[in-house]
Amino acid sequence: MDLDTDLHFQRRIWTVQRIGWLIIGLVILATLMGAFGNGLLSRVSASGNGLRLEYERFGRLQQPTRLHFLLPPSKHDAEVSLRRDYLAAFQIEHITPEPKEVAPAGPWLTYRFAGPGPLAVTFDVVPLEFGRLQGNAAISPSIALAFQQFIYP
Amino acid sequence: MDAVLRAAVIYGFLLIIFRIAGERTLASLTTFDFVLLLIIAEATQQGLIGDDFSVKALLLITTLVGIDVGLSLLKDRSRLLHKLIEGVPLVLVADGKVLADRMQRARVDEEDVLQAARERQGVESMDQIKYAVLERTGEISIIPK
Repeated sequence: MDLDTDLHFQRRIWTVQRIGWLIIGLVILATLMGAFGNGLLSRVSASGNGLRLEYERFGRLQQPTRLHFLLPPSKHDAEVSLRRDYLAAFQIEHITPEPKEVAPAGPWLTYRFAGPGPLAVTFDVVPLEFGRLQGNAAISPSIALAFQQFIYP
Repeated sequence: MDAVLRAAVIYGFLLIIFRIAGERTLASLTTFDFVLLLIIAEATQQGLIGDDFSVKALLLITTLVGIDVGLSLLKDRSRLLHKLIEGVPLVLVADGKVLADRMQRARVDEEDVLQAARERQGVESMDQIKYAVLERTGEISIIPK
């Protein structure tokens, strides 16, 4: 029969296919667990000296994600500051409640809200850059926390 | 720049995932395979020209192909599952004798059988047909006498 077969090659392909199936299974499992956002692996929190942040460790480019702050009790109006280089990677859609004032302070941007803490504040943001993002949030030099996010392209 | 990158990534990804899935995936084209193909096409289209190219399209395709491969592996293990998912072939004509009640239930008429017979085997009448079978793909195969 005039046929260009290669059984040796075919056997190697079969092995590769078995490995590929395993990888597909692992990817599906990882997705279910939230390795690509929205799941157990992704939902994390960071806290430092009374300031608490719940956020998604994994996000996707152009897909909304949420930063949920719990601001500690305070005498004056509640406020939180975020690094401007971190914020530059996002488009901010909503802040709930609306801040009464947003003021730059060096490398930081300070959001001030009406009324004292404790206060829960939600930032709904859309990532505009992908890769690893380093975030910093602070209320004062002593009340600060750092967090990392990974945005998939 | 963006367009070329997207197209190249999707092309490479699809090439790899369908080589991994194997030759038989979407090859027989039952009605369901066809639907699956359309869904994969839709997911691919999102990845190609959607506003946001995100890993989502790739994850969707991976999941669809993964389920298909997973089910095919399960089908090999279970006769019943195989029948449930793929259906079973049905003999419509045996030794030139038309099995009318089966044909009625399967919503096939004699004209469909004769058309398949003419197109595939050049057979002109029912008594030249030994067997006509409604295959799982929905096609009618003809074995002439």
